[in-house]
Amino acid sequence: MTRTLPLDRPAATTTLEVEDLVVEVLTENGWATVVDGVSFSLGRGETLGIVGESGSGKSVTCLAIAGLMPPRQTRVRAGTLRLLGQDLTALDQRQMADIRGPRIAMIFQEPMSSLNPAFTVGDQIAEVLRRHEGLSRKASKARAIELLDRVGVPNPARRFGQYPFEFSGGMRQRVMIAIALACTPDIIIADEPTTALDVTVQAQILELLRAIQREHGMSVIFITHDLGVVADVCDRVLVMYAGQIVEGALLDELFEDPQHPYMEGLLMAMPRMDQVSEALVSIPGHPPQVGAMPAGCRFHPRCSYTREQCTHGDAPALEQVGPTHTTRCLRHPELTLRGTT
Amino acid sequence: MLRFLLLRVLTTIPVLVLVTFVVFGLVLLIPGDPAVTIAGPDATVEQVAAIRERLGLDRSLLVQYWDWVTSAMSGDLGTSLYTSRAVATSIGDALPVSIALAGAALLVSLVIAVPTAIVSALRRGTWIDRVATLGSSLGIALPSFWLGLVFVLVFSLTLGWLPATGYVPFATDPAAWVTHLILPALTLGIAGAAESTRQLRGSIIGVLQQDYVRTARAKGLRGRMVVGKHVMKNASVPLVTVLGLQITALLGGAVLVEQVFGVPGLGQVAIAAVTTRDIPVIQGIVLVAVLVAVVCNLLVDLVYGYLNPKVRPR
Repeated sequence: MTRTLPLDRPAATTTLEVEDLVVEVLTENGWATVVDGVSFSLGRGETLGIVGESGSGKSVTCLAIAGLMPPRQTRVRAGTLRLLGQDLTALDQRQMADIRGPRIAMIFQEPMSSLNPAFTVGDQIAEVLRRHEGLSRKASKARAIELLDRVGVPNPARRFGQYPFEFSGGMRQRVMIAIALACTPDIIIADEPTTALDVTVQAQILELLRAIQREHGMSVIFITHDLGVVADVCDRVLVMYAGQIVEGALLDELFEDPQHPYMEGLLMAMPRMDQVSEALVSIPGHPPQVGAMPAGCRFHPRCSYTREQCTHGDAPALEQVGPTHTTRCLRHPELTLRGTT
Repeated sequence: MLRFLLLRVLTTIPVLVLVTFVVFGLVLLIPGDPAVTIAGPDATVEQVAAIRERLGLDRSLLVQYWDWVTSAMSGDLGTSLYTSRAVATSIGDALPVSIALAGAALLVSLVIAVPTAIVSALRRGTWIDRVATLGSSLGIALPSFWLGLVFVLVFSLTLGWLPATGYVPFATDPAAWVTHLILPALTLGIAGAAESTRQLRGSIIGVLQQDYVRTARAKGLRGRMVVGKHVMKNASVPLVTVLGLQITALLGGAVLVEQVFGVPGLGQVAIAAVTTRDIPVIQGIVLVAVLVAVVCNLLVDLVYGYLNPKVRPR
């Protein structure tokens, strides 16, 4: 897999452009911003990781891109949201529904609850084909069986007619992948697809996703909080904290030379086989609550490098620290953060 | 599936046996001796004894029970003590009327409840939802006989659109059958509609928050498909439970409505039988009511199996 994709690429190879994405949700105290000015681009065939703790806005970012945020309780704004040159912000609900499936597909975290218990898995795959490709019942069934076979479900013709409760977690996630793959989308958004699975099954699912991506040259956005998974599958990584991107870099750059104290903290908190004796270091404190963001750098209350300048004013801007590396830390020129090799 | 059906039917047998005991025994608890009632106030002790003997009331209870059960199984529910008509014939005349009324009421209830619940759940918290909730509270609270009188006043007497009372068999005149059923069915169906709306609204709201609904949206399915297929099949389970209870309640609740609209259903027969202590008729009606309840429960179980593949036998 190539690891040398530049951050700014010619338009022809850019699948998705997101600029200044803002998502607000309605809370008891009014509108609160949960995703604040997220910008990134996704290249064709690229796997982009988005990492962060729960509540950092990584899932919301992706749901918003796919137009899946509930309309009345949430507001989504974006400077630019472009899929292969097509402006998604101009589309209404119906047109967005046409995009989901053939252009953007999603795989969710909970394979146990993400499939409808009342319909056969085969029907749940076939209905995507009937909806978007206008296939007949018979043709969609044949294609669905092929898809089940492709994602490694044994005995696909028989499994087609079975219900989700007859499948194990790993097998259900394969079914979810088959659903996502059905119309060969340009982008697959995988939202913690392996978090709920056993470690051995995790590896199989990751391998399957990689193989499918290679076959079809799809772009993948991989949301996770597991840096091990990131290291395994991603070309480039965005780190999110409290609704903002705080660092973005190619995989190796990020791990070897983190430029934001939060990323350093995540790396230090990662268990490692080669450093058995060293105790794990966790990041002290908790991420801020929605609607109660600290002034200045949003990470400053938990940061061990905080100085007076970090604690007031607006959040620092995302700065370019290398051709493919950005960070949102005021002190990055003076800090030398620890990475891994 | 066939095995499931058979098994399910077999398990109803003990229930039925128990019910026949209760039905037979209940009559013993009713104060008053039918022989005395038939013989009239001036009868002598000998006359009463003769009537008792003629009716078989002097035999042992077990013999009376066995006699009754075996006849009932062959379709002979005895003869009315008053009209001397076969009980099976009276019930046979009234049952189709009651079933038509209950069926129409159920239809009314569903036609009102399903769309209201869907709109209410999808527009939760808006004025539409609040109006629907208020309406269903009213529907549950208003007594059916009052509602029936209001309907007669408005639609029959004032507007003259529909007949106020009476019943025309379907075979005689299908159009008149429909027009005569509308008001009683509406009256009877509204309470059920209100109850079903509440139940269904709640379960739709619950299902809308499920991950698989998000999956359905993520597939790009149209809103109609997401709600009509993925949400409704799961949200219908509690509704089916409520409907199963309602069907049996409809037969019972029909007593008042049948009176108000002069519909010659089972309720009318029951009232007449109870006021005259016409034991064979009472027994026949209760038995039929229980059979209807058992069949309804069986249907509910079958629908559960369709809605929830997990409870299907394999």
